Amino acid sequence: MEVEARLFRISFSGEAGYEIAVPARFGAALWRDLVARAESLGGGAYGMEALNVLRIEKGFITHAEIHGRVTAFDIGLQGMVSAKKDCIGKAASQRPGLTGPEREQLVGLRPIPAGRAIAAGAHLFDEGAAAVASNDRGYVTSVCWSPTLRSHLALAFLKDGRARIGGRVKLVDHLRKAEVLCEVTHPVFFDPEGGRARA
Amino acid sequence: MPRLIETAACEGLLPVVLPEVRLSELPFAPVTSVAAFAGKDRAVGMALRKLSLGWPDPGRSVRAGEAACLWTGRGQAFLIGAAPEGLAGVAALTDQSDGWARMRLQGPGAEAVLARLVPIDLRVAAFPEGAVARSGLNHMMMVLMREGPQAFQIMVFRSMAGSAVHELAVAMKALAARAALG
Repeated sequence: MEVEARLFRISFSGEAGYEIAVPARFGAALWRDLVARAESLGGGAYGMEALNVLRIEKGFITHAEIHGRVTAFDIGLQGMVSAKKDCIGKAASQRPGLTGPEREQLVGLRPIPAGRAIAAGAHLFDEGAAAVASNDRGYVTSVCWSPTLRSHLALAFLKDGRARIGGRVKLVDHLRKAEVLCEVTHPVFFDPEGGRARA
Repeated sequence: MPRLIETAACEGLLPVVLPEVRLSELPFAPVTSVAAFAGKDRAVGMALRKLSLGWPDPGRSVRAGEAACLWTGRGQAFLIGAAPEGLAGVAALTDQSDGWARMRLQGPGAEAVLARLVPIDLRVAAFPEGAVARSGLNHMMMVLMREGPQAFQIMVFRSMAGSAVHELAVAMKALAARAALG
């Protein structure tokens, strides 16, 4: 008996990967079968927490980053909006205030030292600036501990972020009363060429 | 390729059996939503008649053996228990077979159970055999059909199977407890 399925070459982990869709009544059986095969090869199932670490290492964004107030320019994908053709949203995207150094742009953050824990929701300030609302330069959207890079990592939105890569910013968590100096990096921390997904 | 074992929508949850009422899962059946393309109403009707069915009136169904065509909205029907033969090209078809949990509630107490969960008049005079409603099963979206004097077919989203069985079972047990008090 053949089961209809859809196979997608998609990777949210950044590794060579596929997504498979079958009718729901076969889902449990397909899961059992695939996990058994993976375990026979020395692997196995992995969960959402592990996947979240992998995707943060790769700078792959989720609703934590694309939260409704973010534009293509903000996440660095302005190049995917055609320069030649018109499209829905294009005119709006070129309005004053929707591009430029005042925008909070997606960056990566690494705490100094690498073992200092950081929390999502923390806000960003220039070193030496008082951590008050008028000095707010941005906020952290996703964090994880990366066993591969042996560092806490964060994705964040920072005013003029792309121009500040290589510099530093002060992360302040007013809720948990923590202050951590961070290195501003490119949001893709691991395998920037994407070779793993094409392995 | 090994055969994949199917998991029923209500696997492990049904049947729930009480003195006056029983809730059981219906066997898996294909479910296809059908909406005629512009100007193709007659062609759709003809194709359904070839399946011994027909296009249902609002709030009604057309049934033939194991197959049925249920009204599910304006210009829309669910074809259940039969493949949509002859409908490609004249209707928008979507396979929803794995999207639904389908159950039968039957027994003298069935109407009283549903009265606690469904906000419409289900008495046989208002909701006769073959009648279909899209309503709420205590906040879950449901397709409901009266199959007989004491039998109803209940369809909820497959992901809601557990919640639906729970809500129905609570109502069934409450009525049974009340009856036991005399």
